[in-house]
Formats: sequence, C-alpha cells, structure tokens
Amino acid sequence: MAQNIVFELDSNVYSKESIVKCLYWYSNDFTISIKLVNESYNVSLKPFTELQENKVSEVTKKLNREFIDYNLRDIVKKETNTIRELIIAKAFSNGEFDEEPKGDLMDPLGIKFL
Amino acid sequence: MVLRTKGKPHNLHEFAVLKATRFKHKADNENYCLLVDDLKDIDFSKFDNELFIVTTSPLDETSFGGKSLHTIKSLSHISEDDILYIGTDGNLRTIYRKSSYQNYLLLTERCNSNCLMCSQPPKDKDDIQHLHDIHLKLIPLIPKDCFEIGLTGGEPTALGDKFFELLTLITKELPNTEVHILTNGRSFSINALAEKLGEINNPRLMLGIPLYSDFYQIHDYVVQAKDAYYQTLMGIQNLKRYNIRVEIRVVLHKITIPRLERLAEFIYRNMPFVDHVAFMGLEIMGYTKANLHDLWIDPVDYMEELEKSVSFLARRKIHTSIYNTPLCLLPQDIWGFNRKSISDWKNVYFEECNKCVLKDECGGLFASAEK
Amino acid sequence: MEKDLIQKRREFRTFKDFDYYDQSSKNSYNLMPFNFFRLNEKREVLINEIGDFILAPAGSFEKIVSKKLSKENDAELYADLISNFFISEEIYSPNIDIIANRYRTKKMFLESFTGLHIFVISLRCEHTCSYCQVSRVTQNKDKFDMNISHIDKGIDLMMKSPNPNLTMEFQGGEALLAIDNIKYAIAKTKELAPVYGKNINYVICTNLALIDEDILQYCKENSILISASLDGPKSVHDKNRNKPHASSYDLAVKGIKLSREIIGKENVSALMTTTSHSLKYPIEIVDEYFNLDFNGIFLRNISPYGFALRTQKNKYETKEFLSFYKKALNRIIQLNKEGHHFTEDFSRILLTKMLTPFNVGFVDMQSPAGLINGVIVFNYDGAVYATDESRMLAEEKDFSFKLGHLDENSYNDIFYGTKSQKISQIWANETLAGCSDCAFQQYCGADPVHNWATQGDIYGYRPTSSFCEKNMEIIRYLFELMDSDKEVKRIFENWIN
Repeated sequence: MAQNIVFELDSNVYSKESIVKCLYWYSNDFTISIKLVNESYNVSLKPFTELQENKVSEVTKKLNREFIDYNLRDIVKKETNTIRELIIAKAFSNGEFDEEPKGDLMDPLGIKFL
Repeated sequence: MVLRTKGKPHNLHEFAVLKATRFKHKADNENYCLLVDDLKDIDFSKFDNELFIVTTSPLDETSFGGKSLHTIKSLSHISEDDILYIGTDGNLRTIYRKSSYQNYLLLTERCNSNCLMCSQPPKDKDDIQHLHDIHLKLIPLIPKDCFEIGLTGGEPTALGDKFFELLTLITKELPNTEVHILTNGRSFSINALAEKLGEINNPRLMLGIPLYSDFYQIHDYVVQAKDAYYQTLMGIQNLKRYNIRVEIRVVLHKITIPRLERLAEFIYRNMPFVDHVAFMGLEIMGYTKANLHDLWIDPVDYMEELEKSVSFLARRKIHTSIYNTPLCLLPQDIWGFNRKSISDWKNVYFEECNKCVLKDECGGLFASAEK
Repeated sequence: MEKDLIQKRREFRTFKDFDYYDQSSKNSYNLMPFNFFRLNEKREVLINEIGDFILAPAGSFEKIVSKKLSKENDAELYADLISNFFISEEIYSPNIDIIANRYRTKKMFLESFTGLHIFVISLRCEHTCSYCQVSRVTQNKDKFDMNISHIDKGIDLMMKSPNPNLTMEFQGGEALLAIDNIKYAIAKTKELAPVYGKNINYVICTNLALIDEDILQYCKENSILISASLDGPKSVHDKNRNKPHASSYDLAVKGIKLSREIIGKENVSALMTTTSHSLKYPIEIVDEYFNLDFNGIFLRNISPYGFALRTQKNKYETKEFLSFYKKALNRIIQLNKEGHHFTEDFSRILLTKMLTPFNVGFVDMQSPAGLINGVIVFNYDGAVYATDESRMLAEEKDFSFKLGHLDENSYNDIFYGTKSQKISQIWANETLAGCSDCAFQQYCGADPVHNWATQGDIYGYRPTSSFCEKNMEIIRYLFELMDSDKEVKRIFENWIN
C-alpha cells in the first residue's frame, strides 16, 4: 500500500538547509525525495518497511512540527553565524580581538585617565 | 564620634599632616605635633620654636615663635598617634585613627556615577590635587603594622595618574597592609589601566566593585550612568587578567531585590573567580533620603531572597558576607555570613540590644537608622 | 564656560527614571547564538552557545526567533534572555568578551593535552567475564606481560606530554598478576617525575581477587588508588563475572573491605558494567553500592566491543538500557530525598556541564573527543592505541586506531601522525551532521571509535547511533526532572558542588 508522506514547503519560508537537516533523522527509515517545483519544496518520504496507520499520522504530525523547528534553528544560525565565529576567535585569542570600552566614562569635569 | 574641629592658626603658611602626641619627648620628632589640652595658664614661651603645638588653650601669638593651632574647643576625640590634617584656615581633621580597624582615605568627592543611594553624594569640584598632596604626606606616617586601609571617594580612579602614584607609595611604605579600594570599576574597561594596576604588583589590593543586577538596565538605573553595567563587567574581566582581587558589592533595596538570586547565579556563572561577594544593608544617608520612595523595602521582606542568594554562592565555595544588617533580622542559617561592618564612627545599638545575648557578634545598626 | 559647566553638572546630577536607561530600539532585538529542545508537550529548554539554559513554556523559541517577544509584556523573560546572552539589543551583546572567556573555560581541557596514560601491564587474567573485551589468557607471562623495555619507553612518552598533571593507570587482564612490573614502573616514574616537573596520580584497576595486605601496604606507601569492579549484588556480579572455582563477588567485597582498611575509603573506587542480565536489577545494583557505603555509582552501559558484541547475552537495545538507567537514577534520587548523599556519576558529568561554567575531563564526552589529546594506551605488546576501546578492537584484528609502536615510532609519529590528523578532522561534534545543530551539543561529545565499531565509519551516522540516542535521552530526562521537581534540582546541585 502506498504510504508516501508528502509535504509541500514554501521555499520563501523554509530554507533548503533546514529541510535537509530535519530529514537527516528520517533517512534511516524512509526513502526521501526533495524537489523544488515552482518555489515549493515537494518532500516525500516512503518507509522502507510498511508502517501501521497510526504510525503514519504520528510521523506526519512530528515532521510537521520539526520542519518548523529546524527552520527556526536555521534562522538563528544564519543570523548569528558571524557572531559565533567571533566568539570562538576571541576565545582562542590572547586579547587581540578584545572589544573597546563602551560609552562614556567622564564626570562633569572630565577625567584624564591616561 | 568627632573627626573635625577648628581652631585659630598661628604661623601656618601651608597645611600640615602630623601625628598627635601628648608627650613632649615624642613631639621633638618633626612628624609629630604636641597636643596640649589639660593644663591651664600655659607659658608657651617655654616651648621650643621647632614644635608644632595643637592646644585648647588660647595662645598669645607674640610669645611663641613656632607653628600652632590654638583655642580649639576640645581635643578629647584625638588619641595618641592619631594622624591629623591641620589646614591654614584652622581646620583640624583626624585623617587616621590608630585604634580603628577601618581607616578610609577619601581621595576625591568627584564621581562619574550618581547612584540613587549614594551615602556620600559626589561634588563636581576639583579637589584631587589638594587631597592628593595630603595623602602623599599621610602615607609615610601610617604605622607599618597597620592591618588595613581603605581608599574611597567619590571615584578613586578619577585621580588618573595620581591614583597609581598613590598606590605605588602605599605599596612601598606599607607592604604589609591590606588595601581595600572602593571603586565603580568602570575605568578599568580601559585595559591599560588594569595593566598599570597589575604592574604595581601589590598582592594585598582588593577592589570592592558594586554590581546591582544581571540586567543592564537595572544596574545603569541604580548608578544613574548609561553603559555603566557593561563598563563595570569589562573592568572586572580586565582586572582579573592581571590577577587583581575583586570583591562584588550589592546594596539591598527595592530595585535590586527582585533579581537578586539571578544576580547571584550570574556572578557564579560568569565570574566564579571573584574573591568575595558582599550583600549590604541600605544606609539611609546622602541621596538615599531623597530617593527613599523608590528604594525603601523593609529588610524583613527580603530575607528569603537574601538567604537564597547567599546560600547559592556559599554552596559553590564563593566567599560571601552580609554587611550592615543586625542578626535579629537574618534567618539563622545565614548568621555565619554576617560581619560587623558598620564603620565604628557611625555604629549604634538600640536600647533593646542590651538585652540580646548576641550583641557582641552582631553588627548593630547605622546611626542614621535611628529615625 | 562656567555656565556650560553648571549646565553639565545639573544634567549629570539630575536623577533619571528607569526608562531613560533603556537601550533597545523600538520593539526589536537581535538574536545571539542559541538553540532549543522540546522536553515534552508543555515545556522546552533554551540553551545558549556556552550551555547556559532557560526552561520555558513550549512555543517560547518560536516567539523569540520570530521577534514577537515584547520587552514590556514579557519583561522577566526578556531580561533573562539579555543577561544570559540569548538575545541582544545591539548587533551583538557588549558582553561578548565574557562569552568568549566562558567558551574558553569550557574548552580548557584542551590546554594541557594528554593526561591519562593507560598501561596494559598484562593481558593475563584468572576471570572469564562474559563481556570482557580482551581475550582471556592465563599462563604465558612472556607473551602477555608488558616487558621492561616497553615500560621504559611508555614512561618516556608519558613524560613528553605537555600536561603537568598526569594519571598513570594500570589495567589488564588482571593488573595484579604483574605486580612486580607495576612496582618497577611506578618506581621509575617517581624518579623521573620531578625531573620533568610532573605531578602524577597512580591507579591500579583490579578485580581484587588477588589483593592482599602486602600489596595494599605498597599502595598506601606510594599513594596508589585502587579501582575495583563491582557489577552489583552477588547474583548479578557472579553471573556476569565468572571466576572458575570461586565467587568473584565474595572476593571483590572482601577485597574492597581490606583495601579500605589499609589505604582509606576515599582511595578505593568501584566501577560496574551493565550486561543484559544486569538490566533486570537496577534497584538491587544501586542498593548494593549504597549498602557497601560507596559515595555513588557510575551507571555505565556496555561498550560494543570485543566479546561483548559476539555473545547474544550482551546485545541489547539502548532503549532497554535507558529504562534501566531511569529506574536506577530514580532510586538514587529517592535515597537522596531520604537524606543520604549518593551520586550517579554519569549524570554528574552532564550536570557539571549544564549547571556550572566548568567542564569535566571525561574523555568519552568531550568535543574535540578525548582520544589522543586526553588519553593514550600503551598495550602489553608495545603497540600504542588511541583509547582503551581501540585496543579491544585490535583483539578482533581491527587496527584502525593503532597509532604506532613503542619500538618504532616517536612521540610526533604517534600524536601528530596521519592517523591522528585524520581523526582530528571529525572529532569535534560542532562539525558533525546531526550534532552541529543539536541543542545539547555543549553537554555531549564525539566518539569516533564507537562510531567505527558500531557503524563502520568514524564520522558516524546519528540517526542510528546508540551514543547519540543514550546521551540525548539522558540529558532530556535530567532537564525534565529538574523542571518538574525543585527538590531534585537541589539534589543535583549538591552533587556538583
């Protein structure tokens, strides 16, 4: 019996990386195909061994949420990748990349520190 | 407790910093002045002109050729070997008390913060040079076995170069003395300053730095300075680069209490190397009175947060203390963290305290709390 | 000028209200690196780049990432997120140097390089344990004992480690069968340690069947720690660990008591191994350790190497182990609630990573993985292996993790040779598929040897990795326990302080 689990994911909302990372976890139990058609990723999962009916809906429900979760993670990753690299560069540096002091240190009369 | 008085100056062309003695033989030393306060009808013409005389008696200025401060109301507050500042205007201040464990040097009243509860509100007047000149004379006179001195203000680092000059002198003259510096730590966000402090190489320095919240906006609001939170934290990181000891001070009031536990957790996670954390009861003085409405919370109402915060840090082996809070207010399991911390010159006990068996262990209250 | 100053002073000294110090820009904030994991239907955990976490209602991550979080309406969570480096009002948190220091602290174990040096002093053994990864040979000393020349060369290599703190651990077979060689090795090392400026801990791993007062006196005089094997109560232990003609359990307990008497309780530890048989007795095994007055127990699963894999007896699903683990952990928590201090050591390692800014030098759970940079193994025949498990693979004729030989290779050949370099490409979980986006990345590690042994590939395939399945579920479970029961959180905090 055809047990294809199918998703249509808008490519303007879901990134390719997030979809692939999500499906990685299902790659042992399903044959997976991803096709970009008219700005949508058509995703289909076909189980290697036949699943019980309730298991199919369980997987569908889980995947539905996980596509969103992985997409959110991907948004964070893309937005923060440079910061992450900066943190690691600083962690293994010897102070060469230290931040400059923030803001103003003066009192009304003007302090001469150095 | 009296620390200031005034008299009539005679032959004073510049200020003097001198140790006080009531013994003539000690007064022959040029670092001493002779206190004369128990005799009537003294014939000052018999005194050596090299002496510096500080007396309650009126002085016939023609009879004595040396320097003097006379016609002072009382000298009974001055003990043997206390160190005095005598101004050309006749001001007499005790700037070091031999019997006290808590001598603090006021380095300046300038400050780049404006804390809502500042007990010593800043003055935007440049007093640095004058006070510095006094301290340069004071430090060599301090007994070498002095256990601890404090440097406070205002903001000590406002002295700029002079701050380091003073510390270098202290390190040289008082190598066995603990030096407790109260600073907002913000200037050490400039790493070069932390490095300079490290180069002085005094292992007895301890910087007491206030941190009022883990959330930047609350800290900045309490100290009334934008970016102060980030500057202070950067300062602490820089100081630790040079192994300088850091104490974090938290004043307990309505604004700091709500996130107190989170602050304790923040300190542990991000600064587990901190040498001491002090939780301090509020002193109703200075700016506090003006901002009382925003600050006042009955200590009874924050004992739960205080207990949780203190226990959290203590369990993680961070040295923790509670200051300025009488034992009767604290939950018993944190009594061990309480210290007798109120400067003796502002420390009182109430009438009821005389009945308390723990009176000796207890720190008592601020004089200002009597209201 | 004067007017200017007066104006400045007035402005500076006028008190401003709380809102004045708000540095956010109109309802927007930026994200800092962080991840999340769903604990169950109602709760999720947010975890930042350095492993600090916030337990929150389900849906929080989505709200934060979609920039729907409000500084006004979600004030407390907003402040928590700013203070703990989850979000920022600037391009990145001005506390970034603090974050970097924290990150450096988490990776501090890298600074010193190899600490644990395992000397497989003899392969001979008088037990025949069902799960033993080594072949069980009893007689031939020459063939199966480490010879003096190899001991010397191993010690030389050990002294070359940049780490000033070393652990010299003697294993077997049954190490005590070669006690004379152990004495030689320790004497030699003690002589050399001050020359190289090393501080060394000595450990002997033994089943205790052969322990006696003389050996223990020697251990006492030389500050040697004993690591014994105790699988559980007699019914479990003896079933797992077969000693011909005697009860291994009786000998172990007798040995533990005698060892404690002579070298002190704090210098005697015990390790258990879980077999399929053990899985039926979580409570009994915990109680056995508790009743024997140990401070805690390390609930280990069986490693998938050597004899263990071959016998049907010891192939079990990770799910069964997890069920065993949870029952045992809950028993331990119950003991703690009754006022006893008794720890579970695997969770203690995880909890240290979760609840403190520090890391633990546990080579099986670090990234980069601990092989070579944390531990090295000198085998009885002079071969050098990356980990203990690697030499067990070698017993099965799989030499994938053999790094060289004491007679043929230098320190550089072994530690920086082609094999090491190849392993170092894939030993950081930050770079592995499945791990690189995992919320638990900072608590977990990588185990290339495990991947190779179970999946035939050092990179590993997370969806079927038992290492992954076990760690993820235990971490999730620890979060769930702490989230649902404040007392459990307190107990866990006591374990790590």
